[in-house]
Amino acid sequence: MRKVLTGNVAVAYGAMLSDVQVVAAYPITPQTTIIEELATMQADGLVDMDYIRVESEHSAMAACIGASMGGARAFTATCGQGLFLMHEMLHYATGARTPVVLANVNRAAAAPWTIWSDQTDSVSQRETGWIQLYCEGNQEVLDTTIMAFKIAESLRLPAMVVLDAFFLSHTSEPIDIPDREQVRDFLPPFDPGDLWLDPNNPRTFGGITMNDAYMEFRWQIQRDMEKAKAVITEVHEEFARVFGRKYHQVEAYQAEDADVVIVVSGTVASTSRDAIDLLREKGQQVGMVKLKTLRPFPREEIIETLKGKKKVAIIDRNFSPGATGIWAQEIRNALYELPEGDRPLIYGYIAGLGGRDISVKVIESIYQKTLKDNRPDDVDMWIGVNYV
Amino acid sequence: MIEIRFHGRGGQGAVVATKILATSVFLDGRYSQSFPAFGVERRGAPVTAFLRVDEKPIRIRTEIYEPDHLVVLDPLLVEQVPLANGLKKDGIIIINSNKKPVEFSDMFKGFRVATVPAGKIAVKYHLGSPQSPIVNTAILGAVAKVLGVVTPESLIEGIKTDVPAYTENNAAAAQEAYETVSNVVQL
Amino acid sequence: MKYTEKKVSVPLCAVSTTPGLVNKTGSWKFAEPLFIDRVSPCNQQCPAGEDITGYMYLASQGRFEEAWKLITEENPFPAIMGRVCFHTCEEQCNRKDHDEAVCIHTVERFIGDYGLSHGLKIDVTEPEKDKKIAVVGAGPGGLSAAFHLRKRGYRVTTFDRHQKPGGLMWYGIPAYRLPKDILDAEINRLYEMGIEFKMGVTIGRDITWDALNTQFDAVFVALGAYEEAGLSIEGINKQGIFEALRFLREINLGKKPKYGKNMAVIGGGNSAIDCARVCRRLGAEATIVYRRTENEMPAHPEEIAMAREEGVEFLFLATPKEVHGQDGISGIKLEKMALGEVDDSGRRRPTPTGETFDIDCDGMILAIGEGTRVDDLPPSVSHKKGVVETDQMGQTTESSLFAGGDIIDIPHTVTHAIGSGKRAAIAIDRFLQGHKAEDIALDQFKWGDRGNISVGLMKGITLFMRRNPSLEVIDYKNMNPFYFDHRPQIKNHRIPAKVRLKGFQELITSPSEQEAVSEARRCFMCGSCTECGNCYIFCPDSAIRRDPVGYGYIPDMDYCKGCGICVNECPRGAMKLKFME
Repeated sequence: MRKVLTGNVAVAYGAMLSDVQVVAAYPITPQTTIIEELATMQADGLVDMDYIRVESEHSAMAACIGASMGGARAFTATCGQGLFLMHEMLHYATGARTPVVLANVNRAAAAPWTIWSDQTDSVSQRETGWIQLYCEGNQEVLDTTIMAFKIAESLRLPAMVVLDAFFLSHTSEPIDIPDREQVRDFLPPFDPGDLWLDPNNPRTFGGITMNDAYMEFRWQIQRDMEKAKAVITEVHEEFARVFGRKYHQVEAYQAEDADVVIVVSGTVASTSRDAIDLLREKGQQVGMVKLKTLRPFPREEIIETLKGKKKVAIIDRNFSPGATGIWAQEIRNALYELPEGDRPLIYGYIAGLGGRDISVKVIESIYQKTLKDNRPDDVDMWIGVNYV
Repeated sequence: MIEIRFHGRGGQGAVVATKILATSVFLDGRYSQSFPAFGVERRGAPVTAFLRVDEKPIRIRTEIYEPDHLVVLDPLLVEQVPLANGLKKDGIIIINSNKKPVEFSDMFKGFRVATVPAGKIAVKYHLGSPQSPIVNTAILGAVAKVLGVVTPESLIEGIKTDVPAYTENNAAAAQEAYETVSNVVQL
Repeated sequence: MKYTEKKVSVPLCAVSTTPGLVNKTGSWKFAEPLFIDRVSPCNQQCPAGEDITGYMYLASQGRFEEAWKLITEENPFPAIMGRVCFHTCEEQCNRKDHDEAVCIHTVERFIGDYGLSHGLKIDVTEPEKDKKIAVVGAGPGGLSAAFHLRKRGYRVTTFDRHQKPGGLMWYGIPAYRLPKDILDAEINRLYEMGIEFKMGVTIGRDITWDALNTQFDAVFVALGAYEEAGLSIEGINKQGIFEALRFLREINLGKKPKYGKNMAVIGGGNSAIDCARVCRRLGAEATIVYRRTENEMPAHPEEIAMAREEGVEFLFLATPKEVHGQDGISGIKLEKMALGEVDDSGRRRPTPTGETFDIDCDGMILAIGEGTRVDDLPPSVSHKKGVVETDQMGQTTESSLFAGGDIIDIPHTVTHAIGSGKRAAIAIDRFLQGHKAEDIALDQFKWGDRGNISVGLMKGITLFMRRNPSLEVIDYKNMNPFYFDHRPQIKNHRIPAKVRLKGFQELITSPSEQEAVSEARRCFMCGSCTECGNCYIFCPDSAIRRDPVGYGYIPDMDYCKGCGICVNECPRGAMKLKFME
């Protein structure tokens, strides 16, 4: 079935088709329509779930952790300030090994007050142990929501589906809605194994752990995050087999013979495809690499894809004050493993903060600058800023 | 690809208009994308919304800077917003107005203009209040007729899909606008 | 070596290796929680012994038919009650310490009207009994006794000297407070139950008490208080002077007594207020003359306030000394009074000052108290000063004769009469089955120590579940009001005073269903478990479990540490902590 849906409604469809059992959420622009739609679906009897109204995002995540520990498939959605408030519980979800799925609509940080898109909220959660999956279109949003449950539950690690505010959340476009029974085959009910809160066999979970064992639990998280790369690839492949749409942790577009490779994530990837085609028509040797996962970071694939390229332009719709854009940091870090001759020059760009448009023209100008400059003029370069 | 920019005021239904069009165009078998330039919504504040139509999947996800056509739900917006900014040379402007297109000669010199009394039609079908009519479905009838981006059948179907209240009245308003929109006049 | 290839022999998350159940923390306790259903103060207060908490609970869920059934276990007339009862329950309501009392009578009125508009009937489910009972007096006391006896399967015949059943509800209460169609419709249900009515029959004159005694197995007597106190002052026999009950009776019968244009009403009780308000509706001016002050008036404050709205004047600290006029009354000489010492009734006594003054009036109504007449009862029935001597259940000194209503020692209200009829019906049933009428075994079915007996509790009615009924009454300070919102009481819709004066239209209009539900939701349901789940949620040891029988919760003493959190967090005081020896 194909319908014209916004990105937020696509998230709700993803959660509904995944037969989510518990939703605990607190409304916040631009996430609100996700949980409104889920509440409507519940009221219409489309999904058999408990909807827990909470007084904050912190409680929303706490409730999801509890539900997940009780053996339920739990889901929440938030953005920006809401995700910041959730931060403590994000760490807890990982430590408790609860495969909660969270849809985060990328919203920039206040102050000054803003509701528009950038990735500061989600990249700030890089160290929480959450799998992070970025999307470029509404179809990918729906598909990724379903896949996120499968990935999270097979690893017992929480997963975040990330979509740009307004550029996806409020944009309507035709998407294919997978068949419910097919989704059920693809994603069987959550099996918590031995690790769940059984009222008939009460046990203490996550009790105080001394320094003789704490590190082992942390190490297991790291082990499973590494394993996640293979799991995500497997899930992508299985999804492609069943539903005919293939996703990648690292996707190269026209990058094979490119002198300049632009590395992007989120909706910028989508717009970049048009920009690359336009530049290629003009005879430019330019390509694009789209990153879907920030965590686990696909370092091996990145190395493989960017090895031997001359110049790599990374567009970060986020930045770490006092350092650089997060994607640029990660890529620099990974590429250092390459021998010096194979290491491309890295051009880090900061663009599109607070929902400023990253248009085809902006992408073209980034390409032209990268092509022209023999070396980057700075560790990162801010695009379109009217410096005072 | 055809790119259309809608200008309206909060409460007139510009955002929903583009959503309905996206659905209707899709029902015609083409690809579509609609997107509001989301502000902090307030009744009466200027609102911009975008629609893209193409034969192939649409990948560009940015605002529309050089629209092929313009739909203006309230011509008085020109005092606050440079409406025709970036409009392509032979673009058509559809205006919600009881006036004739020639009366917009000063405002939109050099462009092609059609007018439709969408506000009057909306009031007739009890859409919104007489002080603040919801003109979106009426103006879409004119869009279908003048721009031809969507068939009237799919438009009616799209209204039925996306407008849960007063569906019949909305459809009738679109039909009437389709029939009564003025000719396109080169100014 | 890759991370993924290593093996670690610990679980993913720190988990205790032995199940928590091995640790029977219940052995630590020196106190244990008990679930207990306490009596709400409104239930204790209700003279008719209604389960107010229970029907509020049902009404709050929109279960009006069940709510109606629960009321009619105790009281045959919910629609009448919601209109004329002076609802002292609301004075006791725990919610008044929180914000405002629950407007109980308005909810009851809605439930009563719901019963009428939906044609709800009383089913006599008990097998027919061959014993016959005579009820003398078809006022609220007699009708209540007849109703409860008939429900128990007895053959009941009701006698009354009037033409219409209802007693003072028909002849004494003006129609703007209790419309006749509501009254008749509720009484009509008693006809439908198979109660026989013999109207226009005076026992002791048309049929002798002896004849009655031989024809019937037991007799219930509720003669009412129709004797009016008079005044022996000069000129009291002039035309234009009425006694209150006679005046009201004529009005209620649709007759037009020769009233004046400027009426003085003597007295401070509800009858005086009724008469004055009736005069206003007849187009006359009305002044209430009372020998004490407003503080001492026995009339209900709401009635006084509404009388004022309708233009009734008040003259306090004055008492009639002489009636002026030729044939008819033209004025009254009044003596100024002063307040003296507190008397037996707890009010300050009026004392004469000797100072007099005159007022003009062309009519006067005496509403200075009504009395009973019990001299015609069989000599074996002992009485004193017009009050028939009975035990708690209404049994007189003649064992087969029971009494209730205004002729026994209870306050003279419709609701008290109905309550006395119910008590006597229970007593007659016991008497006819060979038990003692009065028995401490009945105490367990009372709403608290001071409350009436509940038929619902006796029969174990489960429309509103009480698993562990007790006689303890719950007060506000033993509840946990944190869990209750603050919300004002619903206000009755009264038609404007101007409209009221145009006739006898009912002055309060019925609430909407939404209003009734909303007001019922204000009820705390004091003392009763409503399965709110606080005990279950708050127990730190998960030692509160759902009752396997299906309602409420039970503590699991193996694990309960006796911390008392459940008791503290119970909003309604439906739990208590018992300290162990």
